[in-house]
This record gives sequence, structure tokens and C-alpha cells, in this order.
Amino acid sequence: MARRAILRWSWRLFRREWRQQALVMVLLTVAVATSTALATLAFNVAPVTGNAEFGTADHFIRLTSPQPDTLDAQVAAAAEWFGTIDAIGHRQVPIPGSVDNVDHRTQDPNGPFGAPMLALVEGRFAASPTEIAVTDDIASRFALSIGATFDLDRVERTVVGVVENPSDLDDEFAHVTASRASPTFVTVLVDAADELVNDFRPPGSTSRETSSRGDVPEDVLAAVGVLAAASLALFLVALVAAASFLVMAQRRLRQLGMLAAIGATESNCRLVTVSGGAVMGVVAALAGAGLGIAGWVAMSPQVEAAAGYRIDAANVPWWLVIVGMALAVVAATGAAWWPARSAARIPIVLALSGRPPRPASARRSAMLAAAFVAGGFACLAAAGDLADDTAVHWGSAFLVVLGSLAMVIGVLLFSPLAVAALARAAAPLPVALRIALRDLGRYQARSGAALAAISLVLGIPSAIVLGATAAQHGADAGNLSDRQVVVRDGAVDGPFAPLEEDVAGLEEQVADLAELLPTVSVQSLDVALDPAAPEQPEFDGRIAVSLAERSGDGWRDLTLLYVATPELLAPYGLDVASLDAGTGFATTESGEIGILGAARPPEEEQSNTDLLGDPRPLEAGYSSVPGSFLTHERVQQQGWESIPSGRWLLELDAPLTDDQLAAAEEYAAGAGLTIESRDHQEGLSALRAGATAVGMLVALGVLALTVGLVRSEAASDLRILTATGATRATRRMLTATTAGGLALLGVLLGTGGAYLVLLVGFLDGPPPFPASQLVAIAGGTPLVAAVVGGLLTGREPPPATRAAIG
Amino acid sequence: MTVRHALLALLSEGPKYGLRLGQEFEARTGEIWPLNTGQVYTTLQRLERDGLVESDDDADTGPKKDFRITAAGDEELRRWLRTPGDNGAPPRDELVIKVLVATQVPDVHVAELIQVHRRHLVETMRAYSRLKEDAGEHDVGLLLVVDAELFRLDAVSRWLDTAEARLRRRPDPDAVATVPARPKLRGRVGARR
Amino acid sequence: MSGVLELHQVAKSYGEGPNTVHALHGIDLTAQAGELVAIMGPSGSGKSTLLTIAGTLEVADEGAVLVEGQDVATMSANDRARLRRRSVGYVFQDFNLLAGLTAAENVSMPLELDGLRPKAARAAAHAALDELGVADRAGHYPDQLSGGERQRVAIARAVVGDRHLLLTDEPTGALDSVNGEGVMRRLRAACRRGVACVMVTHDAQLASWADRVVFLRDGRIIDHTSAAPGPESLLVPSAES
Repeated sequence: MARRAILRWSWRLFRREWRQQALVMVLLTVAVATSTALATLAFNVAPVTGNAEFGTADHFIRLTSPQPDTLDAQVAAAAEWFGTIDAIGHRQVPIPGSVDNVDHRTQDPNGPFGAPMLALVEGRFAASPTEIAVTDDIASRFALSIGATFDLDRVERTVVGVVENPSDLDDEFAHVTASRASPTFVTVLVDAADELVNDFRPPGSTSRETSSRGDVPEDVLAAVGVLAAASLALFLVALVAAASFLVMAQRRLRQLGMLAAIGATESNCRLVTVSGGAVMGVVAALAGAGLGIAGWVAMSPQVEAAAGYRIDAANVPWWLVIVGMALAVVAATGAAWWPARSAARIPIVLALSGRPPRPASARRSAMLAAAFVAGGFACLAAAGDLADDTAVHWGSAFLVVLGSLAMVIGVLLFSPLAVAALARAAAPLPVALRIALRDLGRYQARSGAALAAISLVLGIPSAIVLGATAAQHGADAGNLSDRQVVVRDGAVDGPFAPLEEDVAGLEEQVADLAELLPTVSVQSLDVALDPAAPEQPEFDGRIAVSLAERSGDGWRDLTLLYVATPELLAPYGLDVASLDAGTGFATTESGEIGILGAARPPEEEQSNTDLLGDPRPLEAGYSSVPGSFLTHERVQQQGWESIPSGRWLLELDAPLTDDQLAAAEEYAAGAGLTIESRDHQEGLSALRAGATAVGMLVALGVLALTVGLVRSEAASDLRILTATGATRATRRMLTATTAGGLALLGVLLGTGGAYLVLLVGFLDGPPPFPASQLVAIAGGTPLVAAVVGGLLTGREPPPATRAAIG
Repeated sequence: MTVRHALLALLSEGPKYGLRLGQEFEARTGEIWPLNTGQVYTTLQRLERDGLVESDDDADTGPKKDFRITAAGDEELRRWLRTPGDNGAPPRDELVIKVLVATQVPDVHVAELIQVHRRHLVETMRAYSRLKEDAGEHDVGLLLVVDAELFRLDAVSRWLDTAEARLRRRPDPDAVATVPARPKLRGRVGARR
Repeated sequence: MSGVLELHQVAKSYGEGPNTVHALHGIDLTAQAGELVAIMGPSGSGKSTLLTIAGTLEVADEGAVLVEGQDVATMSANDRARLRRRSVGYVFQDFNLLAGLTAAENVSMPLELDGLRPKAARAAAHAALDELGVADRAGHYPDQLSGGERQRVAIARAVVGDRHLLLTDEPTGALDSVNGEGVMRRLRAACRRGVACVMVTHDAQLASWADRVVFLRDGRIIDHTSAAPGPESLLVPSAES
């Protein structure tokens, strides 16, 4: 009965004061909507990596053989060994004038594992040897429509449909049927145990490679990631809600005191505030989930473009959304608990007088904060030690999540201290600023909660921006610098170099191409050739010496071994003489490296890791520039020859423009060359810009609401100020200072915290510094907050209204 | 106490005889202000002498002789109603003198003395409040008179509170003698009532 | 005869060390059912503290506080809350009522907090409002009531459900004198029906409504009025006929 009476009063209060609480509910709703959309985003983005390579299988075996019969036999053997397989045949048919190939791919659309890699967009799949289905980019590139003829591999086929690889939208291929396809290698997808896969020996040549997905099932990772994201978002919700509940409880303090005076217990008084929280949570959860899903549907096309694979807008993780809603209600109710408790514990006499007790010392929370940060640091450091190879361990994943959370919580716990410090530091400032900042410190609890919310809101986009920047090629990383172009002979591929008679013609063409660009130098990248190596007439070109790494009990091609020149060694800070002083062999690759393409006695292994001795390790630079070298002297020592590899490196004196690139590509298309230039990764750039914009907007929104909350209680002070002659300008200054101050602290804690977490937990190299976005977030947010805050103030406070009725 | 104007007021309602006038007066003032019959007749005679009332031309001054208000009396009554009271010189107040004196007399605890008087005031006020309570909310005449007295006593009580506070703040009771000479006040404070 | 409220040698201090404020010293006070006791004193005399201690809103440092014979000091916070629900009623100068609840709901709140079913509680509330003469305002919200009506509703809440102790702090302070008188009349009437009423005030006129006035100064009781002679002592003998 007592609870019913309390709940009735709580509901009546909600109905009366809903306008004051509408603002907070809007924020809660927005937070729930954002977290719902983000959770759906993470759910759709997270588990898909790997699908492009593995489909739904957990291993693949790549079988390579120049002879179709051998391949067929190998595939048949695999089918017998594993039972269920999905074999996808590939033939890379080069497109004249481009780096890319058109992969003529044979794949059964109804195969057991390959579904995530093949989808129909229009028309139908190829069903007969004269049919072909292409991806949309190929269709537009070659001006194909359904019914047109396509014969890139010199087999005439009719285009019957448009397909795509939903897990990798950049994958350009053509779908054909098995006959007349003559694949050069086959990817066999299998779901089997590691040992079974490793024990498989295909008949014929042993050129195969295997790969597995990794230890941690990806959807578990996805769930953890999503949960972490949702928890972060709900944490934000709870912080803002806590601030507003503090304000609400303060406003009702007198009535709470009266309630206690007529005989309510402390838990009765708590229930008043907590039930208010529950109601708000329910309303916000319902509205927020609806908005979030609508928002997700609206933004899924953009996400698709950025991620590079198909995203199904209807793929909403309903169970997650419902759990999220329930968590939101729990969060809102929980957020109300601490304000409820502190309000109910205020001595009745003090509450009746309407005077709030003095704020608790910020020092305690600061010590707690330091503990959390230290703990988080330790977790992240430990995680770094654990995960040093490509397979992901349960333990390190858990530690990473735990450590990040701990650090985030730690940084946020510094909020009350930050607010108190700012209030103290306000002493030398002009009076309006001083008052505003002191008010922040006076209402330390709610300012602290508000600041924590703002820090979180600023920290997340900061983390995204920093992470994307790190992932995106910095100035020193990437495939090439923006002043380099690699030109290749379109006819050769892999560890092959052009035939001697073709070299001169190629060189002429490269020289002509170089004239189209602001070229400074044209370097032929030479490689080593072992004249004694067995001929392989089925392949185009001559086989050069290359490096490979161990993969299972086979080898996987890494790179050609280039002849060292001073210009090529320069980026690594070496000269030829110093290399010669050692083994003359240097490479950026690490691990167990084998030498392929050199002659060897039949009884030895296919490759010889000791042939050249230990290499000198090099720091990896650009990925498409030579990274493995053998000095000319060493080449001669081995009895090998130095031949042009059919690849040229052009150095420009100015960054490549789009027009220049287009002209070069056009020439290359006609000449049978391919061009590679710097990969700018527009997707990540878009993500950075988007995260900055959205982050700032959301931060400003949160600021608007929290500043409103914080200053709402200062209304009576405002009246006094106005009565003593403060002008509109003063009032504007107050709001502007509050907004700007909170935003500034939020930037310090949020962006600074993001940097800290990323630095400690995730980055190896120098810290990223995305200057424009950081300036926008760190400088722009406080500035815009202050200006907008000042502009939006102005109206005089209402005359002294009748206080709470009793 | 202007009995004469009160009688004029009663007569303005209609002719009445002397005894009745006395009774009505007491009834309408809550029987708080005593008024004896002799006082009534004396006042009536004076009023008649001044031409403000007239009686039946009867040499007999029996108890049933009616008196009437004249036109002049009516005018006088209205003039009197509108004339403000004399708020000028304050009367010599015995309690004020007592307190002033007490500060000088040795071995007198002024605060205790003040409390004695305060208690008495409160006790008196208590009696009046009881009267009000018993009379109910509709006996307007009584209520008006009682309120007047309560407010008067309340004023005295407040003065006692203020006096006590002032005396408390005195630096030293014995130092009263060395209070520097004050400039003489113009005029005289306190006049004969 | 033991009173509804008894204070024996109650003392209370605030603060520590050199800043200690001794709000109350050695207070002895008894209030019987049916009597109105006024505690009169200037601000800072400790009268509000006395009231909050008597009403179990605060705990005394020394001495015993007995409400209807029960020693408050031995009670837990929840027990004290129960006492406030059942035995003690409070009327403050203003802000007594909970916004958002009607007059009737305000009055029935202590009963409902105590577990009484809404129907029975509402019936008791209506009876109390009727006694106070505001039954017709039962369905109105506090912001729709006048000051005097609000105070009467507050008194109704303080006496609903057979309570015997009513504590009030300047009950008419926010009202004009005519309204205030109306409230005091009702208060006295409620008192007469068997409630012990303790009123704290600095105003002599208000104190004059009490049966007994206790004077408080600097945390101590320094005086009290003697037994009242009847009001008849003020009246003149009726004019002889």
C-alpha cells in the first residue's frame, strides 16, 4: 500500500513536471536511438570479416596448378578426403591498362559454404558455358548490359546477369560455369579440424596453401564488441540521467522532507526518485529503439559503401535491441538510484529547509579514478604481450575489452575533480565567468555527471577518428607515396619476369608513359634469375628468384627478390656497400623464409632457407615498393643473372593528380601495361569526417541539455543578478562560460582519454594526429558551444514565481 | 473616551431613552468598556446643552424620556467620524518608565523584570483570545474591540522584545553612567495625556 | 498523569569544538491531550529544534523523549517513521502539502504509507477534512486552494487517523490575521477533541491562543504562564436594569 501511494505521487509528479523532464527524456531517447543504431551497425559490420575469404567455412585450401587435369584430380581428392567441399575456381584475366584483373570464377551458387561470397543482383547466374554474369563495375567499365557479349578471356559468352560478392563489394569478377573456364587455381572451402586440413595431400604438384579463420569464433567477438558498444552508450545514458535526477531530487527536496516528516521511510523516499527514473527509462527505451532502427535503415547504404560489403538493412538483431531496451530501463532506473539515495539520506530538517548539503570531496573519486586507469593500463599492456601473432586468443580479447572499459571509467571518474579544479582556477577571471564556473563546482555531483557524459560523447568519435587515422595510411605508410607510380608489364604476374625479347619494347612504352607525368626518374626494378632453374613453359615469362613463407607444410609466395640499387635502398637508410659487408641479402619479411625459383638438387626440399644465409632485417615501408634485396655482387656469386622484372618505379616531383592518373591509365590500357598509384582509402576518410561531424553534433546536443540542467537551478541567482543590474550580456556570458567550460573539460577528458586508451592498448607506431578533425573536435566544440550557448540565452528570468506549493 | 459621539451614533438610529442607550452601548462593545448610567445622563445633558440632541419638552427627566439627534448633532457625528485621531505626542507610558528605571536601580536583573511583564501581558492576551474563541466568528462588535486590545498588548510585547535586545547589547551595565551627553531634543517628548 | 508528549532533560548541540552551538539545555516539557501549549521565544532560542526533537525528526543528544509513553531514543529510523505515521502530526508555516496530490490524497497519505487500504484511508481523510471545514475542497490540488484552506488541510492531515500529538511551527505565519484566526479556531477545536498540541512561535498574539505558554530563551525554559483564569474576568458586569 505504501508503495502504491508513493508510486501514485511519483506518477503525478511526472505528469506535472513532464515539460521539465521532457528535455532529459529527449536526450535519453537520442542516446538509446544512437546506441541501438550503433549496436545494429556493429552487429552488421563485425562478424563479416573473413566471409570474403572463407564464406561460412572455417578453412580454405588453395590449389594451384597450370594443368587443368591436375587441378580436377586435386579437387576430386579433396572432395573424397573431406566429404563436403565448396570448390571455387579462379582464372585471373588481366584487364588491359589496369592493375586489376577480372577473376573468371566458377562457383556453384548453391554451394555449401560459398553463399556469402556470391550473390545475384540482376538477371541470373551463368548456367551454361556460353553464359557469364559480371559485377556492376565490370559491366560499366566494359559497357555491358544483359544480353551483351563479353570475351575478355577470348571465349565468347553472353552476359546473363549482374552479380556481386556481398562480403567484398570491391571484388570484381565474372561468374562462369566450370567447363571452358580453365581455372589457374582453385579455392576449396572446407569445414574441418586443423589436423585433417594439414594432413591433406593433393596428388600432383604440391603447390597448395591453407588458411584458417582463427581461434575465436567471430560472432562471439562480434557479440562482445556489440555489447561493449551498447554498454558504453548506456553508460552515457546513465550519466546524463544521473545528472538530471540529481537536479530533480534537489528540486523536490523540500517535498521529500515533508514526505519523511509525515512518516515515509528512507526506502519510500528513494522509491519516489527511482520510479521516476523507471518511467523515463521505459518511455525513452521505446521511443529510442524505434528511432534508432529507423536511423539505421536510413544510413545503411552509407555504411555499405564504407565497409565494402553488402549490408542488409533488415538484419536488425532484435534480441539485442530488446536487451538494449531493457538495459536502458535498468540504466535509467539505476542512474536514479544514487541521486535517490543521497536525497533520501539528507537529514529531514535540512531537507525541509530546502538547503542542499555541501558536495563531497572530489578527492575520493579522483583516487578511484586513478585506480581504474592504472588497472586498465595493466590489462591493456598484458593483452599486448599475449597477442603477438595473428591468431586471436580468448584471453587477450577479454583483457583488451576489460582494459579499455577500465580506462574509460577511470578517465570519467576524474570528472568531479576536473569540475572542482576548474571552479578553483576561476579565481582570477572576470566576475561573470567566475560565477558560472563556481556554480559548476557548487553543484559538483551533477556537473561531474554531465561532464562525464560529455567526455564520453567526445571520446567515442575521437577514438574512431584516431583509429581510422591509424588504420589509414599515414604519410609514411601505404602502398606508395603520392609521388610514386609503379608500372608493370601486363603480361606477367607473380614471380615471373618478361622474356628478353620483350624488354626493349616495354622500356619504350614506359618511357612514353613517363612523359605524361611529372617524372623525375624511371627505375627498372631488376630481379635475380637462376639460369639453371627448370623451365616452366606453361607460364608466360621467365621465373625469377622469389621469397616465400611457410604455410602449413607448404610455401606461400611473398615477393620477388630485387637487385639492390642505391635508390631502392635509400628509403631503408642503407647503402650497397654495407649490405655487401654482410650476406648481401636483406628483406622486410620475417619468419621462416624460403627461396623459390632457384635450381636445387632433386633430393633437397623445394626451397632452401639456407641458400643465401640470414637476411638483414629491414623496417617495412611502402608495401608496393621493393622490400627484399640481393646485392649485385651476391647475385654474381650465386651464378645468377640480373634481369629486368617487367616492373618500373617512377618517381614524380609533385603529387599525382587525378587528371595525370587518368591520362596514364589510358595510355597504359593501350600499351598493355598496368599502373599502380597511391591508395587513398576514401572509405576511411569518409568515416573520419563522418565521425567528427556526428560526434560534434551529438556532443553539442548533450551539452545543450546538460548546460540547461546545470543552469536551471541557478535561476534564483539569476534573478538576484538581474536585480542588481546585470545585463543581458552578463547572462549570456554565464551560459557561454558554462557551456564552453564543460566542453573544454570534455575535450580534455574525452579526446585525451581516447588518445590514452588507443596509445596504450592498440597502437604500435607513432600516435596518429588527424590534425583537421582534432582541431574541429578539440577546438571547435568548446568554441561553438560557448557561442551557441551565449546566443541562445537572453530572455530575462521569469519574476519570482510561487515556490513549490504546500 | 468619546462617549458623547458614541451616544450620538446610537441616537442616529432613532430616538432612545437613556437607559436603553447605556445598555446598547455595552452590548455592542462586547461588554468590555464599563459605562454607568450616571455617565450616560450627564453626557446626554451636555449634548442637549450643545444643541446636538433634543428631548421631549418635558420637564420630567424620567427614565423613559426619549432623546433625539438634531441636524446639528448629525453633522457633528459625521464630522467626528472623519476626523483622524490625535497620533501626535505619545502618552507617558508607565511600563516604559519602569524599564528605564530598572536599568539604573542596582541589583535589578532587567531581563527577569521584562519577562515578568511579558508573562503578564501574555496571560492577559490569553484571556482575550479565549473570549474571542468563545464568542464565535460572528460577534463583530466584540471581535473588533478585542482585536484592538490584543494588538495593543502585542505592540507592548514587541516593544519588550526590542528593549530586551537593545539592553543585551549594551557593553556594560555599569558603563551606562559614562554614556556621553546627548544633544538636547527639540521640543518635549511626552506630553500630558 | 502522563502526557501525550514528555520531554525530560532534553539537550541538543550542533557543531564541534569551539563552534559548538548548544541549541537546547535541560528541557522539561509535558503536553496533555486536549491542551494547546505554546513555546514562545525569539529566533535563535532553540524553539524550532525543540519541535523537531519532539516530532522525532531529530534525535536529542541527552534526555528522554516520550511520545505516548514510548521512548524515541531506542527506536530505529523506521520505527520513528512509523511513529510519525501513526501518532505525530506536523503543520509547518507553509509548504505543507505535496504538489500533485489532491487535498484528500494529501490527508490520507500518512495512513496509506502505514498500509491502510486506499478506500479506508480516503474515508478517514474526508472525515478529517470535514472537521476542519474544508470537505468541499477535498478534490482540489494545493495550488487551487487559498492559504487558509491549505493550512486547514495540513491540520487535517496532522490529526487524521486518531493521532494525539500535533506539532506546529508558526502555523499562521503566512496568512493574514483574519485567515489566521480561522485556522487557529479550527486548531483549538481539533485540540479539544483529544489532541495534545504543541505550537512554536515568536508572536505573542499567536501564543495567546494557547492554554499554556512556555518561554524559551537561549535553549532554556525560563518561564511559563500560570493557570488561566476564565475569560469572564475581562467582562463588565451587565448593566443593571
